[in-house]
Amino acid sequence: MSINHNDNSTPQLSRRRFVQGSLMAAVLGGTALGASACSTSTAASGGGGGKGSVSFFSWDTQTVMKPVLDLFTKQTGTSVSFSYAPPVPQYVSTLQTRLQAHTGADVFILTAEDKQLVGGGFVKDLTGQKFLEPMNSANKDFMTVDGKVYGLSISSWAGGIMYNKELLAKVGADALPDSWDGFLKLCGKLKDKGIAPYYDSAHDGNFMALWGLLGGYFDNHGGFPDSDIFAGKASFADTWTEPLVAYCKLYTEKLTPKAVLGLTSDQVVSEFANGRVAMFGAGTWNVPTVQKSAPHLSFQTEAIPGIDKGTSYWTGAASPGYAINAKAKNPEAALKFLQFLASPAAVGAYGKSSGSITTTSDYTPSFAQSVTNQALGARSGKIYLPVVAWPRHSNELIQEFNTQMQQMVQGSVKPKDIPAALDKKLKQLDAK
Amino acid sequence: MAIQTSDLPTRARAGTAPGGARPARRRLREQLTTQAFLLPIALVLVVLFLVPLAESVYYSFTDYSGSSPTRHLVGLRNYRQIFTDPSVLTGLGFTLLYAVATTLIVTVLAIPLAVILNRRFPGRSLVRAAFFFPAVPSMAILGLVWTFVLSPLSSGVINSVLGSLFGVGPVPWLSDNTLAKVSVIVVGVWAQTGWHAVLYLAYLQSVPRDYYEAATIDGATPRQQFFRITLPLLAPAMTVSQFLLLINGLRVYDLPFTLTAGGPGYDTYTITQVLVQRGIAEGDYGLGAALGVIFLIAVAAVLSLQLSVTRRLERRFR
Repeated sequence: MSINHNDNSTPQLSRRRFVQGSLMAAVLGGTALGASACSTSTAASGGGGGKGSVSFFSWDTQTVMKPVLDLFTKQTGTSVSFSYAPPVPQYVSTLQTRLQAHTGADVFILTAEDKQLVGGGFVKDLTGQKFLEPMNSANKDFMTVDGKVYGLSISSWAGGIMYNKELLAKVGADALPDSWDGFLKLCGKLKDKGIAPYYDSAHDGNFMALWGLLGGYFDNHGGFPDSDIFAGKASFADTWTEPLVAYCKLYTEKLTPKAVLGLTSDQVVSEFANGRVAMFGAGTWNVPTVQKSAPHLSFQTEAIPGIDKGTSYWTGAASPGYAINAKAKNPEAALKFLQFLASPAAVGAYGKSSGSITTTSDYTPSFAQSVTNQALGARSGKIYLPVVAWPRHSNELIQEFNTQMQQMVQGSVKPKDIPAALDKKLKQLDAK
Repeated sequence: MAIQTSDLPTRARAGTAPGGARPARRRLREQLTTQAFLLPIALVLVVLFLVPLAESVYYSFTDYSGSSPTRHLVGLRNYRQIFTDPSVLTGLGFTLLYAVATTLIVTVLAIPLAVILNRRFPGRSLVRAAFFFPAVPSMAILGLVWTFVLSPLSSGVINSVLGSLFGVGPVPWLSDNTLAKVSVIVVGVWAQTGWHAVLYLAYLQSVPRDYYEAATIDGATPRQQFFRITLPLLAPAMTVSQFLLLINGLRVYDLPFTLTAGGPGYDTYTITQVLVQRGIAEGDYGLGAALGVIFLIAVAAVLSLQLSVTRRLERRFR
């Protein structure tokens, strides 16, 4: 290709045209920037955020929330300006950015990972609001900071051990044993039979069975130690060592292979659905996937057997709650929106569209048979997940824990040293 | 591409107005008009690069959490913390290993591949497209796909092939610390070699055939032609390719994140993962900003070194 500069026929750009062009470019550029800044915001119900509307920043998708929002608009005439970011890191960082820039939505999601927003003065105190009364006590505790309630949490989730009935039957078992030792023995029998006994996704830091094991142990040994640990009255080493060492026998006794370090949660589910592992740590969200992948597979989910007989417990937590921006542009509509979200009609609509286990006292949900056990577990409040129980540094501590656990699976860290590592990390973080 | 300027009107080349010196006002107006064209990109540079950079430098000396409106100056505390945090040091080590290893291996593989793809053979276009294809999907998608290929269970794609053909037991590709590092690097090399081969191919196609014909007449072997003609003439392409490879290697995030999530332990953790984890997920923007500043300086230093070495090589071959 050659470019000849001897062609003078090209019309010259006049100054007026240049100025017009530049202005147009500036306007278009500004619009593009503005558009990119607002690109996550779409009106679900034609709302624009003005009078008679409320803005809502969700981490449930628009598909999940649409039936709820449509019902709200139908009942109140108030429209909802909906925006969305996926959980968790992306949601938290977007929320923080929007709140700092004073462009936060009137209503947003308050969860364990963004509870520090309460300390920053971004969240309205809802203590004493009548619509909070049907909230389950575990959910209310989750939404409470320093004795004040900052959010409305209407559902919980529960995870346990999902097992393949056919594979368990090969070693003469038709349900999970009632103790952790019994569970380890069951794993041993399966392994001897050439069946992979149990997987947790160590790759993703998903140690589902451990959290329930800890919950059952704490519940049976004087209560949950989290607040004492963070107040300096107890330590991870004092309280965690026995159940953690018991859990780690899965790896130290080679019942679960080191290979789980390379398996994502999805791959673990796939292994189970294909009948290549007898049991895995499963949440309610895994049930539809297993049913879809293996329609003829006969499976059940039960609580995690405890260290002591008959102390089975579920892994789980209250779901994140709806909170009101302390500087909401339309605080009255925001309050009205939360009142609506707590109502049986909204709870029912949300439960149906999201498949969540709703826990409010004035609405009785119905569940598919495949999730009945988990639903009963979640509604009983016998659920535990340390990361949501830790009052501070939960992200840092869970990252440290996951790393230590991965090293334990590899054999480079001893199980009994992991709680001590958590104590050391907490001390470091508090010293900052 | 040839740009012919010899036929430009004398007036334009000399930059003079007809009839003698151009009035100063008109010259100034023309200069302003020309410089106005730079205004949009200058604005973008200031708003999207310089302002955030200045803010990052400021935040790196504070305890800004990203959620609390208050922040306090903490001096060099964040910088001190970086150099005592084992995850940062491990992340730095693997990032450098990944960047250097992928740069060297891709260069060593891409140049011979480009030479082969430059020859005439049936289905050449198809083969070129096949090698280029891994560069099309995002690294995150490739990482997710490769988790299934490199699954450490016997049901993994590679393990099942090894098992059925050679009776080899499952290899712990992603669950062994050394193999996990090797796996990330291998996938990184696989994903980038084709793209860089196409880059070298573009340069190869501008090498005149006369050089090879003259060398053949003089009795040069194909090996001598490769090392004495092809390689020296590809020096400018190597500068560009290695620059891009080093940048991509140093800022790598998506591939190790999706393939190994930085594990096992911290073995495939990268600096960008530490930055996102510490800065955003853990709400320690001060530390994240300090890490960003150090990373920027480190990247500038590594790239300056790379450019100086490759330019020296270019001059040597010229």
